Formats: sequence, C-alpha cells, structure tokens
Amino acid sequence: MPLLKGGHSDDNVCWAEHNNDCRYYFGNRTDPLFALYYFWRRAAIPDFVNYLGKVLPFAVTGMLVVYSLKDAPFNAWHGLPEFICAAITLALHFWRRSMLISIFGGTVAYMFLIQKIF
Amino acid sequence: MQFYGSVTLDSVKIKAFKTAFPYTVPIGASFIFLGASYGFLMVSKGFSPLYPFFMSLLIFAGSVEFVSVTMLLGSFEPVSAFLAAFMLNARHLFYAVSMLKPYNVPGWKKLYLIFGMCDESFAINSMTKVPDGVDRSWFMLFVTMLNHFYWVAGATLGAVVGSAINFLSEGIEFVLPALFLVIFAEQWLNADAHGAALTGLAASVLCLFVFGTENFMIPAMLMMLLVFAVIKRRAQ
Repeated sequence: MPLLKGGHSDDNVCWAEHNNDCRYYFGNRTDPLFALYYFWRRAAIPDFVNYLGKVLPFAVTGMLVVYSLKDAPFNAWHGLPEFICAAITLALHFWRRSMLISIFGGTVAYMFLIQKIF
Repeated sequence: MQFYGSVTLDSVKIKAFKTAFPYTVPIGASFIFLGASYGFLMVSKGFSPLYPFFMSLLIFAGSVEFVSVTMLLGSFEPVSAFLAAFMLNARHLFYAVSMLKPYNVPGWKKLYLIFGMCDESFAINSMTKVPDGVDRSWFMLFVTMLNHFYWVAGATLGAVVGSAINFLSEGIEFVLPALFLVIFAEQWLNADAHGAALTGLAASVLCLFVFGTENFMIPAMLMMLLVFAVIKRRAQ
C-alpha cells in the first residue's frame, strides 16, 4: 500500500482504504506514479499558499457578506431594511443555531418589509 | 466498473446526499427565482429558451450570464468577453487556493467540483464539518450538483413561464446575504481567532466605499493578500 493520501484535510489514511471504493484503486504498478504526482504536488504548494488556504475561507466569507449587501447602503433607505433583517437573521441564528430557521426567518422578514412597508 | 462493495458504495452516496440536501435548500429557493429572472431576461431579449438552459448549464456564473446577454447582442469581441468574465469572477482565485486540499479528491469528481464552484457551494463546502461516517467528497459533489441543478431549473423555468414566477417573490434575493451571514456567524463561533474574518470584512467595506459597488472586489482581494503577507512575514 502506498502512502497516498486523499483530498481530506484529516488525511492520514491510505488512499484506497479511505475511499473504500475499489474503482479508485489502480493496482500496485501505477502506485509509484501517483506517489510521484502527490509529492510533486506537495512540493509545488508553497508555504504562503498553504497559509492562504487556511485564512482565506474566513476572509472570503466576510467579503461575500459585503458583496451580497453591496447595494444596500446606496439604496433609497440607506440599507435600513437590510440592516434590520441581517439583525433578525443573526439573532435567530444565535438563538436556535439552525441554518434553515435563520435564513428563512431573515428572508421572510425582508420580503415583508420590502413588499409592505418600504 | 463496479466490483465488490457496490451496495456500500450506494449507501455512501445516499448518506452523503441526505447530509448535503438540507444545506442547499435555502440556496435552491433563491437560485430558482434568480435563475428565473435571468431566463426571463434572455427570452425578453429575443433568445430561444434553449439559450438560458445551455448557458446556465455550461457557464454557471450568475453575473457573467447577465452580462453575456449584452455581449451576445453586441459585436464579436472574444478577448473583452474573456477579460470581463475573468474580472467578474476573480474571487474564484481565492476559492481555488482555499480548496486546494479539500477538492483534491480522486477521479472525475475533482473536475466537476472545480467546474461547478460558485459562491454558495464554496461557502458550504469550505465551512461544513461533515459528520463522521459521511464521505466528504460525495457531500461536496452533491452540494455542487444540487446548486447547479437549481440554477439551471430556475433559468429554464423563467424562460418558459416568464414573469409569472416573479409574482410576489420580491425580496427573495435576501436569502443570499442571509446565507453568507449565517456562515460567517458559524465560522466566528467555531474559530478561536477572528483576525482573518475581520480582515476580509474590513478590507471589503473599505474598498466598497472607496471604489464603489462595481469595482471593489479586486482591490479588496489585493488588500487582503497584502495584509496576510505582512502577518505571515511577521510570524516568521
């Protein structure tokens, strides 16, 4: 068994074993090629890129929040309905910690505000 | 191609699908309406409903599809079309770096995961801690596939039934900010350090007000890179 790893971050498991799926197991003759490929890949990822891989998911989520609300500060109400509904969404989330409840609660509140009040 | 264990393989898939589906429900709600508005736009510009179907299937990048309506109607300029698409989705460079490891799965799945990447799939696939016993590569694949499906279904539906679907749905687009907010909150609650999240938020807000809504993403990304480079260098 080669020391090939799957794409999982907690990957100290043999590749073929990990997938438990014989379709991905190509037999011993091609294993050195995969090992070579893996170590080449491993060497090709610089330290800084690995570091970015760890911090960017957090930073990019922050950016997506801003991106999805980018037009709000410049609309007629300067983002008041968006602000209220963002607060509702977060409050629901801290209360119940359920993604579906938070998102549907915030969205229904927003639809109501936009259609009936603002 | 399947030898032994095809029974366990199927249960692996079903388990992954059942885990993935609830995460995609809010995205489905918004993609169907957003996709419908795109499909309706295409038809109202005189395109056959086949256009929104194939374009949503093959491009699968919302903003580029909306821009491509004017591109298709304008003069033939492949270079500027390429540049516009590249700039509009430059954030995918960041997604790629973040997903180098998680998306390094064997076989065709990797190719589809790369092709099918979108903001929402990225947000879910990068933040979700998949429960024990659920295959992560199938989970990520089904999240991507379902999102892709919702978008194509919405675009096609919008093209066929037209504006009827937008009846009373005004405001449904808030699903997306709500989704990103919830994921941001989850990441915040689960992390011990908030420097990276705050960097992303601060750089984006700053650039939004300096560069405006249309041009803020690329300066914001460069600013983040700079901050992280400085932090990394300080740490060494």
